[in-house]
Amino acid sequence: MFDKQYRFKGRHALRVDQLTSAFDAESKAQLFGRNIDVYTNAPLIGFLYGRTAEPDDTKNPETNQVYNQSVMGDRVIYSQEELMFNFRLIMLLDKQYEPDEDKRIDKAFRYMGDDPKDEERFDSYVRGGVDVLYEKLIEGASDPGDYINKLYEFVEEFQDRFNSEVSSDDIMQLCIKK
Amino acid sequence: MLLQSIKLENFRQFRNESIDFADGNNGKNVTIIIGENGTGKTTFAQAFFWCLYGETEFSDKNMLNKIVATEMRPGQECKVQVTLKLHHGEVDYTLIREQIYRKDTSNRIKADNTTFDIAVKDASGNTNYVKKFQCESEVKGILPKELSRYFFFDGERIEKMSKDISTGKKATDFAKAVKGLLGLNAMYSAIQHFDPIKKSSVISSYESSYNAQSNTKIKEYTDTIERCKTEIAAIDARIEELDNEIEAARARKAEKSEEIKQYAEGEELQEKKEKLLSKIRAAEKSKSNVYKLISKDFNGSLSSFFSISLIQRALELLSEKDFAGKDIPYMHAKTIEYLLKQKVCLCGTHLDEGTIPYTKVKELIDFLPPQSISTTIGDFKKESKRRANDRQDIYGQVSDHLAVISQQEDDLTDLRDELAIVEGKLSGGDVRAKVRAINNEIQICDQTIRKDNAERDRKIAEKGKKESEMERADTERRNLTLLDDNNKKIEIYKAYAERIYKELQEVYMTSEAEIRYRLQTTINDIFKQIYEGGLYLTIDEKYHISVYATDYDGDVETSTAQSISVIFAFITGIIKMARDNRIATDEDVQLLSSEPYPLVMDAPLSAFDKRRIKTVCEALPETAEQVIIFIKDTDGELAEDYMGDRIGSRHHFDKKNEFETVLV
Repeated sequence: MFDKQYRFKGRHALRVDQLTSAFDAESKAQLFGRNIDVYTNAPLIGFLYGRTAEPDDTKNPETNQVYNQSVMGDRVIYSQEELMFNFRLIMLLDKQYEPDEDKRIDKAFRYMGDDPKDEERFDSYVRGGVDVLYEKLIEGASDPGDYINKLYEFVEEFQDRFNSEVSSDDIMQLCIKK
Repeated sequence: MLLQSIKLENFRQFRNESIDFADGNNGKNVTIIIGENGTGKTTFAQAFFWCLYGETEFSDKNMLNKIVATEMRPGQECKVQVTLKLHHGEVDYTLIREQIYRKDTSNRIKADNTTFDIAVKDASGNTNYVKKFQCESEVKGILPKELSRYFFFDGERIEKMSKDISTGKKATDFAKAVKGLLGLNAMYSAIQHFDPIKKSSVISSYESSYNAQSNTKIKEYTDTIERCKTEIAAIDARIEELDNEIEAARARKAEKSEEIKQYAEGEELQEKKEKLLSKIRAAEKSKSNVYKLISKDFNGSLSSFFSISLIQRALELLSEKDFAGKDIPYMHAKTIEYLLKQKVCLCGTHLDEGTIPYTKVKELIDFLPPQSISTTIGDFKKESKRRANDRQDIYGQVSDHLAVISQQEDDLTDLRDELAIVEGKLSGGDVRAKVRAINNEIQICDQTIRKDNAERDRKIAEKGKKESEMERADTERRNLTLLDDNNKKIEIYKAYAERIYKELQEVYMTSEAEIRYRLQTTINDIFKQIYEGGLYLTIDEKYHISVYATDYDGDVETSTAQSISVIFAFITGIIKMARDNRIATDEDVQLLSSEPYPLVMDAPLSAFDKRRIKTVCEALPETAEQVIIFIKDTDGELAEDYMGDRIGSRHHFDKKNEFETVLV
């Protein structure tokens, strides 16, 4: 698992391209530095916003090929630990996908990736997350100021909605606990 | 002069059209002629000009209708004719101007000179033709060409006149117009008749009739006086020329100085603009840098920011489970699989499938990597700890950066506002080269003014000398003439003539000043009516017109509509005064009356907005005795609305094709 090239397809490829493009010509600032950064973080966002998405096959009308953005294999392998960690987080917490707690723990640790459906579930969060990121950060923005404002609004909303109650000390305590 | 009718034959696109004009019967004194652009309004208006003076403003001097011209056979002749009927003084005039066109064998059309005839029908009904050679001067008596422009004008002309007025050009023309139209001409002619400087004048004729026989010295003195007069006249003419040159150079200098001010300011503005642009560039760059910082911060803490809430939830879930104490350290599931395959344990016990030792060893796999949960959970917690440690206050960071951006944007807005103002003031182009060119022109004007003024001073001194020489000769001659009875008589007559001359001059000057003042008042009244206050004008003794806004000090640069209002008020003012003089009961005032005149206007309303059109339309028929307006459709409807009860005659142009228009 997470040891080979990953491909975004169709509208998700287009959106990944937009998320990783420079939005300010002067400074070349980007929302996400690389495709791998979208790939690693999108599933968390998809899961937190409860958004999954089916693969899309929107084609480039010029070439008649489905749009495609890939994350090279060595990039994936390099980020394998991060991807596995995020995979585990989702498997552990996705009650809708697997109501049984022990089975979720097995999907996260003991039999991680054994069931191909688990990876499919993870990928659907990747695509859902790309959609959320696109809606929150790109849609309707036309100049650098717009992008920055949207980014600020997104960060603010995310902070309020998910992170405001989270304490790093509590996390440390939980980590020490046997 | 009031126009009765005009008839056009083969004149440009009019093959045979005529119009009777409203003459003021039943209070209807407006004739309105409506036509779309290009139907021939201007041509029709020009027909008046052609008939009266044999001239038009067309660049193509061929008046013959194009269709007629095409249909002509070689050797054939065709006639262009305009017949204008008008009432002037006590008599009716019929003015007929004709031009014969011939086609030669190579199909070229050639025109003869125009011929002009005037028929005069006096009050008793007798008709006489004016002798050919007197026709032009008869027209001059009716309406001199130089005055005609005040009565026949089109949109372009009115705009040009407005410009002339606002730049102070043509002031002498206006002066002449005023004098001519307000009845000062008779008195002016009388003065000229007596003017001792003129050789043919009454006073001069007395001077030349002294009997020189009685004393040869008288002849000598008379010659001296005559010579001085000629020289003084030449000096006066030169001084007038110099005055005009100086005035023109001053006006030009003033104009250029204004222009240079604008450019001098332009140079500063250019520098200011460049500074502003560089400041804006710097501010935009630093804003861009902040964008970069924001994305860097965001990118740097993505994984902990997005995962931290999930981590807490996952750890809480795992904390409820106990995975501790079951794992065997430093062993792997592969080790067990190897032992089971070899069927021998490390201790030597046989591990046959189905036996108890086999089952016990196999169960160990659950507690060894990769399936040993506590190890992987341990790794998981390690990563969780790392992410918790890496956690940044990304929200706080973005907020701080945004505050910086907000300040930068305020600065940028200020800078851009300032830039817009500066750019608005800049007219563009290479300011420095223009300034140099204008400076050169100003220097030339200065030189002219200096040179002319020096010459003027010399001429005045020279004139003074000539005057004293003349006076001396005159005194000497007077002494001598008194010795001879005949000459003494002439001397007495001359003294009378001189006294009359002086009186006339005084009356003229007073009347002229009074007229100028009344004209100023009249114009301001009309001006107020059509411009609704806020502005007024003054006329100085040289007929320079200055327009002032009542709210400000100093000259106002007049907009086109304003300038046109000024000229409008000027013309209608003159006409109104002439009319007032005519109907006045005061004999002195009546002395200053002149003929009534029509206003013939081509598209006079196009420069005005609707509201102004109303005031103009209401003012016109009240001031002028006859109004003839050529107008386009849309303005025409408005004019009909506002002048309805004053319109006695209305016509429409119907354009058949490019070469033919008829009247309906």
